[in-house]
This record gives sequence, structure tokens and C-alpha cells, in this order.
Amino acid sequence: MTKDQEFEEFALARIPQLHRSAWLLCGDAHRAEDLVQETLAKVYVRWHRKLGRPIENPAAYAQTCLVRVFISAQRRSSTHERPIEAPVELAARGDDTDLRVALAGALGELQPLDRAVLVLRYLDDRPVAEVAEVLGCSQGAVRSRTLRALERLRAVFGPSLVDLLHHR
Amino acid sequence: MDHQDEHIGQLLVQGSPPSPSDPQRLVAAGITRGRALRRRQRAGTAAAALAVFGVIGVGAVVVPLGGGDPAGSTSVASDPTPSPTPSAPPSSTPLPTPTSEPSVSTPPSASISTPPSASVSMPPPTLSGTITVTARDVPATVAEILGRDGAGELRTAAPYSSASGPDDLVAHFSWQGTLTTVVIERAGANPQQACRAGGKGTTCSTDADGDPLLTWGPTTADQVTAQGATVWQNGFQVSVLSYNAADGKDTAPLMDAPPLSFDDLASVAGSDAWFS
Repeated sequence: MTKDQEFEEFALARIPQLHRSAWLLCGDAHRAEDLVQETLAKVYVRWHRKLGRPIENPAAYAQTCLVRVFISAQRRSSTHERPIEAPVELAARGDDTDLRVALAGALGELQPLDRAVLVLRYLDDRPVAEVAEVLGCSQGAVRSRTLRALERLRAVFGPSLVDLLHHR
Repeated sequence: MDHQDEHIGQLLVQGSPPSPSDPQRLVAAGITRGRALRRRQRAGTAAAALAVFGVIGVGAVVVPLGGGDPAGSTSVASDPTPSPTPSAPPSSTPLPTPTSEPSVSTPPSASISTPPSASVSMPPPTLSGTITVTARDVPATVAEILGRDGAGELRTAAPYSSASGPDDLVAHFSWQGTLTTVVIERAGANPQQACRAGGKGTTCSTDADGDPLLTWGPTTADQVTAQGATVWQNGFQVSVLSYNAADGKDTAPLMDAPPLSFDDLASVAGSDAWFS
């Protein structure tokens, strides 16, 4: 199998996770796709590099790359977050579309780094120390951002996420 | 992850949109961008090298200073076969090609091999422009690959004229004052066989990427010690020779051993910096 074929196989297998993470970070389908493409491009370059060691954990590397590309783009961007004037209420439980809209709204209230912390901690299941290393911040900052993000989710979805998920 | 954490993760998963219906398109677009990124990175290396070197080899025309595409394909003006042949190492040294001297042979008519069919349609490889560096890029490229200084000027006077074209390249230059040569030419149909047929005194193995790697030396003759490596990759064979003197023979050595180790030689020969 050539390197290109190996990479293609890897990339196809990772698309669901990458796309999900990208959407949670960007809150927009088009920007999420662009983020995934940009991430795959960078991983492709690293994949084909002959100098240095091979990628030890390609899946984790791709996720890390995705988050960092997102953060870098946010820092360069002059766009501002779209504020939500009132908390979004769930219209009908059990409807994924409503959940998605509410989640997008909640995440839209967060700063980019807060969203990145949520993705890395709860989707990628990474420990605080690793999240701090990926984002280039302190572990204390990671914990603060986590609390802030969770407070926002509870403000939107109610105090008990368990109830939310059990009523679906 | 504790109980609460699990629910948050679950929320994020359930609240996300479904996976794209056409993941192949996303992957193909990512690969296209990745290839463009690699090309841009190499063009940056070549452009930097332009600022360093001056006169180009006798008998060959490479991109003139101040014009042309530094990283694109170039043509040899007067002879389709790049000339002259590199200085031969001591004749007792077996070489990767069946002939006793290293030579830049006219490449056999190359067939473009299309990669095996993949679920994502990829552009086929092209013959022209596959070697993305020119002869005068070589010293800086070698320095970049090795991650250390040492590159001197490209040799221009006979018998060390340097030349490059889309299918082959010969570059003689100084490394820490000693003669160093890089030769790139189209490989035959069976690289493994060519490697194993290297002859007495050679060692055939594989490099870190699994490409055939042939090494030879150190061999001393006419006062000069030389060693070399050849890697077959991307349809080409890339040979790197290092000497411990300013010339290939009949000159006082500048150091006890060639300055490029076998690891160095293998790194340079096996690098993908030479190709698009």
C-alpha cells in the first residue's frame, strides 16, 4: 500500500470524528468542512515527511491539529461571536434537530478556547494536562474554561443534563 | 471520565450533525490541499537557495539568475543527456549501476505508472517537473535535510559541471570543502533487483520508509576516500557520494574520512525534498 493509500484509508476512517469536532468548534457546516479539509492537508504533509519520526498516534495527532488550526484561524479572524439574546429553550424533547440547534446556540455563546476545551475533554476524553498542552495554556485555565462552558450548557439545557438525555 | 462527564460527551455526540454523506470528497479535497502545501514548502527552499549561488555549470543551462522558475523543470541546453559524468570514485568501488563508473545515463523511456485504483480519484503522476529542485538548489537542500551548515558552492568547471532536467540531475558541490555529488536519474523497472545487484563491497537494505537502500565504501584509492548511498524512490534512483578531499582523486585529503556519514547519505538520498 502506498503512503497516499494509507493516508486515504486513515482519513476516511477519521472523517466522522473530525467532522463532529469541527462542527462543535465552528457551529457552521461549511466552516466545519473547510476546517476538516485544512486539517487533513496538514496531516497529509506530516504523513509524507521523511525526516523525523513517524506519527505515533495519527488519530490523536489529527484531532490536535484540528483544534490548533481552529484556534489559529480564530486569532487571525476579525469576526465576532454571534450573541444569543435569550437562552434557547428546547421545543420538543426527543428531536435531534432541536437539540442540535440548542447546542449550537449554547456553544456560540462560548469563546473559541472554551469550545476547544469541551471538545478535547469530553469528546476526545483527554486529561486536563494534555488539553493544556494542546492549547498552550495552564491546567488552571483549562479547568476555568471547563466550568464556564458547563455553566453555559446548563443555562441552556437546564441544570440536569442527565434529565435532558433521559427524556429523549 | 466520571458519570457527569459521560453525559456531556453524550450530549455533544447526539447534538452534532450526522457524518458527511460524501466523505470521499472531503478527503480528496484535503489531499489536494496537502499536495499544494508540500509544493509550496519546497518552492520556498529553492527560492532561498537562489540567493546563494551564482554561475551555473558549463555545458548546461539551468535557470539563469534573476529569472525563470527556480523550482520548476529545466532543460539541458546542448545535450539531452546531462553531462559531464560525475567523477568516478576509485574504480575498485562497485557502484549501483552495472557499469564500473557512475554515470548519468540516458533514462530509459519511462512509463508513467498510475497508482492502483483508489476509492478517491487522484491525479495521475506526470513525467515533467517531477524533480522539483535544480542543480543549484542542491547544496542548500542538502543542508536543510541534514539540518546543519556545511554547504559550499556548486561546482561549475569541468569535469564537475552540474546540470539538471525534468528526469535527471547531477550536482557537484563542496561540503566542508570536500567534493560531494548528488545524482538523480530515472530508475529501472525493478529497484529491488538493482539494489541487490549492486556488486561486491555494497550493502543492500532498506531505509526508514522501506525504500531500497544501497551503500558502499569507505573505499580509498588515489589518496582519496569515498563512500556513497543510493535510494530508489518515487521512480528515481538518488545517489549521494561523499569524498574526503576537494577532488575525486590525486589530491591531498582534507580530513580523515568523508564528512557525510552513512546515515547522512541515506537521509539525503531518501529525502522526498527532491520531488513534487
